[in-house]
Order: sequence, then structure tokens, then C-alpha cells
Amino acid sequence: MKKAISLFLTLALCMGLLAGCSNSSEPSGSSTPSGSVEPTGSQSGEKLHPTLNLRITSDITSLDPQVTTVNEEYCMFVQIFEGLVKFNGTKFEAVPLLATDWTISDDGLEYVFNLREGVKWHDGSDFTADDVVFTMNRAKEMPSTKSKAAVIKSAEALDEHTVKLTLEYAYPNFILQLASYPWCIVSKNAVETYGDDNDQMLIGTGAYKFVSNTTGVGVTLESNKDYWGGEPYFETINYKLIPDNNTALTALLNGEIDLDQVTTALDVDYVNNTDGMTVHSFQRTAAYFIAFNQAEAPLNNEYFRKAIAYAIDKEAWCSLVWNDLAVPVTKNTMLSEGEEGYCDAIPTYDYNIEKAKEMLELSGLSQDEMSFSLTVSTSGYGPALGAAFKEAMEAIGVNVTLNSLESGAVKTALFAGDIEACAWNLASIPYNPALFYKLYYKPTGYVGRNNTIEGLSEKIDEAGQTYDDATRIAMYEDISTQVGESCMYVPIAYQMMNYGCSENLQGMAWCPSILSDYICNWSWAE
Amino acid sequence: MIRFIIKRLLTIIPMMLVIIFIVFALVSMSKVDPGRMKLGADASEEDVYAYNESLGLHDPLIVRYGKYVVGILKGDFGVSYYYNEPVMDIIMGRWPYTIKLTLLSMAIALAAGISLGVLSAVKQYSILDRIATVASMLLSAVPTFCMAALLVLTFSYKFGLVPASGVTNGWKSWILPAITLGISYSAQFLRFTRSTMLDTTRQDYIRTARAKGVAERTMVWRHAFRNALLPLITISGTTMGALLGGAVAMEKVFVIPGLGTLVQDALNRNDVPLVIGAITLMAFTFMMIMLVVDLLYAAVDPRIRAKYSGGKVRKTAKKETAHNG
Repeated sequence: MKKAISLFLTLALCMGLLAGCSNSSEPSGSSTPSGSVEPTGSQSGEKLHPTLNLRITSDITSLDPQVTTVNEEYCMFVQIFEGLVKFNGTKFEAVPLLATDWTISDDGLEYVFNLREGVKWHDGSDFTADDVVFTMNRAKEMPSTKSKAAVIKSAEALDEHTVKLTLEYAYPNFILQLASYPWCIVSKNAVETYGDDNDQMLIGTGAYKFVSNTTGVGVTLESNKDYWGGEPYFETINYKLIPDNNTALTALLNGEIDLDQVTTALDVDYVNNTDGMTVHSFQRTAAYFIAFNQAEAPLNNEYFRKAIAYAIDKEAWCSLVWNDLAVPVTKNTMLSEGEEGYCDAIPTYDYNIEKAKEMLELSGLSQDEMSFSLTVSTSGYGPALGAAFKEAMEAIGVNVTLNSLESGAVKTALFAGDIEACAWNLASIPYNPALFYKLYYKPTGYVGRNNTIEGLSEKIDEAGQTYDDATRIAMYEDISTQVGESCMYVPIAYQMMNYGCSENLQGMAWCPSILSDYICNWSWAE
Repeated sequence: MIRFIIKRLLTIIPMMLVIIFIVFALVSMSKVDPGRMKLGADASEEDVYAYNESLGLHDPLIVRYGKYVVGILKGDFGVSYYYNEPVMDIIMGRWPYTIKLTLLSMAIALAAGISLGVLSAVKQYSILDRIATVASMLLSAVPTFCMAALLVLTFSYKFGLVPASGVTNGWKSWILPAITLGISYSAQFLRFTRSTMLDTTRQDYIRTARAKGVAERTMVWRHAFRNALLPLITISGTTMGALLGGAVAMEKVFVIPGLGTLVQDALNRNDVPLVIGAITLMAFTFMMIMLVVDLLYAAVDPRIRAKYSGGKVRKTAKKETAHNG
């Protein structure tokens, strides 16, 4: 017995030592694991850098365009799937993609799209109008997209390469809406054969094909050599899961990944000063803000909210909280200049402690009543923002309790109305009416879900159905002004995005609103 | 001995039921809305409610607990809210990484810690002893994540010898994580081994063995070390149990898709089935390790082996006495 146990232990120890010598390190994932695939020089021809390594921060759970709701997944599935139109790089305009051109009826109710011919799905079958009809009808059924797709009354294939969409009402900027992610066209045959939201139905028309998604490791795509737009430069894209920012920075400097967001000013300088590396910076149409639960005291008090707004030194916070990687918001709106609804009439709440105290007096609240909790994320800028906010409120005698949650949990709590105040950041949608529905609509808007402005949702509905551009824009400007004057929320700063990469990586043109790009346009300077 | 093993295995069942209930109750208290998380901001309240209803979230806690236990008996640990895949499939996908990291780290820790500890004790106050003592104190003082960062900066970034992160570079991927954890725990094992060896080598039977002319190596390894093994087995067992629960810091720094990060991420996402499944598995594994530790005690110490088997002898003796009157 004694010898048997000793022998067993010896064997176990040897097996443990030998375990590390295995070359195979691929787990059983949700599909065929492949890990990093680096073609040899003889296979890749003359390309110096045929494999592009990117980073993701969390596991990918779905790449189905009509299912996923996560930004990282959006950025990935647009390499696989395509829509009828796409955003024109950094501009808020739609250009042809799977549709070559379109006509709009005078009343704005009918859209006829001529589809690109000769486009193939990744399984070799032909892309036709039936796929577009199928996708539109699917979007009307899927829980994640049916509210957006409710505007579509019907989709009809006029012939193999012509499709007509009839709307319930004249929806402004409908073409711009089609450029966003949930409208990527899926293969009717693939979905009917394999079902929804699984790896096998990920058959698109895009420049890259899905290869594998391994939980805990990452996702691999390979180039579509028959892509209608021409074979892309990179033969393989590896999205490596690296949750930790410091590890990712080391991986970037080591060349293990080719591009990554650089999150601190120190790291931006470091990467810029590293030989062969550069940083691409741009201001994003996304803002950090403080949202309020306006259904409950004390944040249902407009003067109290204005006091909070006046007590926030946005310029100082851009250094203190965001390490100079943010630009202070000027007007009390997260809209950017040029977006529908932005206008000069929107009020400004510049940092002014005296004014803040004046607002507190006007609020009529007692000292004990001036107390609430702020929910912040445990990751990113959440902790620093929470600390700065607490300190700012203490300066005007307001007591704030910080409640830290994981970012997903913060979002859940925000929607459930379980928070008093919440620090969050949000990308604006570059078109209306979707933008105002996302922000201000009761009860689904991020900041307006329990707002107390009478008739606001009706105004948003009315504006959303106003087809005439000038009339509609005036209505949105009026809404923005009203929202600003009620201080429904306090936008603080626009995000600055900084991407560190090799100087050889070229062709990037991120849409500032959606923060994604088509990798088929990228290349590596030889 | 067999009876002892069976008895221990049987006690695991009620303990597991209690642990599952505690974890289930605690985690279920958190406000979870997997429907909103899965379907997104634009989904209607009706769709979100229907989704949550399909997961049984509107049932009373005790009903959900009962269904969960029945499911476990059938091998069904539920479906992850976040991944939308069976919990056990996800855990088993991560388990090999945790096991690999644990075994490699333990191998390094035990090999380095025990050998240096024994040498340090045998050659007390020598240069080797002093170096080993100081080194163990330094290694214990430096947090593992700091050591990990230093090793990455030096061997990965500066010299480019090993990858900084990930598990897709074969055996090279495991060098830094295993060494980081192994060195950290070796300091602990070194100090323990040294301490128990010093106690053991001062015992009378060791003096007697020396006086009888037993070779030094035989005296150290066969007599002294064997008696110093018991506390070492205990600490090895608890360390292994902790590592199998997932060395979260190492997994984060080196991007190892192990159980530690899985549980941490699941907690952050309120992925209740995954949290409960993973903690259940960790608790069960820890209990099994403790059983193995107890068996090792019996293997090493005949007094304990006799005690485990002793109940049968005493009862037999009692029966004979009663029969003979």
C-alpha cells in the first residue's frame, strides 16, 4: 500500500513536469481551435506581415449581427458581414457597399436598392435580394433589433438584384441607419440551415471569413480570397484576448499585437517615442457623463442637478481623471458640433462654486437631503472619476457615496433604474432619430429614462417622423435646449482615442462614432 | 482504511449541499438581469421578461435551488448567462490551463523549496543557509504580480526570450508564469522544510542513528526528512487547493485562460450559473485534495495508518471478549 502510494506520487510529479513540455496548448473551445496562424514566407508570397494581431478585452460571445450588442463584437463582425451601405470613413455619410445605388420615393416611404452583382457568400453561394429580404424580416423578429426594425413595413425582392423596402412612416436618415451594425446582411441559407447565433451561421460576404472562436484565447479570421472588393492585404487576423492594459502595452511593444488603444498620457508619450511606433489620435463622438435618476429625490430637483453641474471643473478633470486624454464638453449636451440637435442655444454650466452654492440654496433642500450615491465602473476611468466627483461634491457640501460595479453591471443597473446617479460613457449615434431615442426617450433612453420634462418623448416621436430636414433639425435643437436647461444629465468630456501601432500599419480610418474600421483597407508598408 | 475513505467520501455529499446552498443564496441575492444583458438596451421589456422567465429567474429561491441540485445530479450545471453555453463545458475548457499552471508551479516550488530547505537545515549557519534564508524572506516579501511584471519586462520585453502573454506559443508560454508562482511558493516551502528539519534533526533517534554509524545522506533523507514530511504535506495540499482555485493575478498578467479569471469575470458579470458551477467544482476539488493529504499522512506515518485502521481491530477485540464472556 505504502509503496503503491509512493509510486503513484512519483508518477504524478513526473507527469506534472512533463506537462509543460507539450507543444499543444489549444483548449477545447466552441469551435475548431487554431490559435495564432502565421503563414510561412513561402505560403504568404512576398508579404512581410501577412498576419495582423489585434486585441480584445473580453471573450466574444456572439458575432451574429442581429444578436450581439457589444462594441468589440461589432468591430469584429463587420469584417465578416456587410450591409447595403457603410459609413464613409470618418464622415457621417453613407456610401454604397452591397448596394450600388438606390432611389427614394418623394414621400420617403419606399427605398429601392440595386444590389451589387457577382458577390458571393463565404460558402460560395450567390448573394441575392432574397438574403436582404430575409435579413430585414429577421431584424423585425430578433429581440435586440426589432425596435430599430419596426420602421420597416415590408421588404420585397423585385428581382435577383433589386430589393424594395417600404417603411411604416417616412423615417429621416434611414440610409444612415442602414450603415450601422445591426443591418449587416446575413445568409438566408446559412441561418435556415444552422440556426441563429452560432459559429456555423457566420457566413458573410465580407473580406474576412470566420475561422474560430476559442474562449479565453481569442478569435481568428482568414482572408476571403474571392472578396468582390479584391483580396485584402492581411491573410489572417488574430484577435487575442488580453484583458489587462499593462499586459497589452507590453505585447504591443513586443510586437505580439500590432495595434492597441493606449489609455494613459504616459503610455502615449512612451509609444510615440519608441522607434518604429506611432500613435493615431482623434476625438471621438462619445462623452463621459453623469446621469441622474430624476424620479427620486434629491436628483428630481432641477436646481440641485444644476448645482452639481456648476461644481464640476471639466477642464481640470480632463487632466486629473483622463490624463489629458479627453476634451472638455462646452455645452450641456453630449452631441458634437455638426450632429442634428446641436445648437448655440444649448446652455453652458461652466465651473463656478458660487453659482453652485446659489443653486443649492434655490433647491430648498436641507443639508441632510443633499446626499446620494454615485455608481461607477470598477474598470477604466471609473474609480478616478468617482473620486474626483466625490471631492467636487464635498466642496459644495453635498454628500456622495460611491458604489463600484463591473461595467456590465453598471449598465444593467442604469437600465433597471436602480441607481441614483451613474457615471458612464456613451458613443453617440451619428443620425437621428436614433440618437435622441438612445439618449432622451422615456423610458428607454440612457439619460432620459425617467426624466420629468413634460411631453419630451412626444416631441422626440414627432421629430422622428418629420421627414423635412430643416423642420426636423429645428425640432431637435429645441429638444436639446430644453434638455440642457433642465440639466437632465451632466456631460463632462469627449473621449480622445489613441491607438498605438507600428509605423508600417497603414490605411486606418475609424468612424469616430462607431470606432470601427474595415481592415480590408489596411496594409503593411513593405 | 477502505472504510475511512468511504466515510470521508460520504461526508463530502452533505458538505457540498451546504456549500452549494450558501453560494446559491448569496449569488442569487444580487440583482441580475441576464435578459437585458443579453438582448441589449433596445430590447423591449416584454422580451427581456420572457428571456428571464425562460431561465427560471422568477421562481422562488428554494425552487431554483431544488431544480439546480436535481440538475447537478444529472450532470447539468446550467447554462452561462454570458456565454450561453453549458457551464461545465466552459469550466472544462479552462480547467486544463489551471491544472497545468498548478502542476508546473508546484513542481518548481517543491523541487526548489524542499531541496534548499533540507540543505539549509543540514548546513545550518553556513553561507548557503544564510543565502537561502535571505532569499526566502525577499521572495515572500515581493508580491507575485510585482515579480511577474519584473520578469516580463526583463525576459520578454528587454531580451525577447519568452512571450509576454498568452498560451499560443507552446511551452515557452508557460515559462514565466510557472517560474513566477513556483519561486513565490518555494520560499514558503523552503522555510517550512528548514524549520521542521531543524526540529527533527535534533531528536534523540537522529543522534542515535548517527552514533550507530548510519550514513549522513541516509539519516537525512530516510529518517529525518520523512518525519518532517507531515507539515509539508499539509501546506502542499492547501497550496495546491488554492492554486487549483485559480491564481487570478498570474492569469490576468500572463493572459492564461484559467479558472481564476473565469470566476472573477463571472462574478463581475453576475453570471450566476457560472459562478455557482465553478465554486462547486473548486470546493469539491479542495475536499478531494484534503482526502489525498490524509491518505498521504497514512502513507508516511504508520501511527496514523494504524489509527485509520484501528476502529476495526478494537471492535473485533470487543466482540471476542463478549463471546468468551
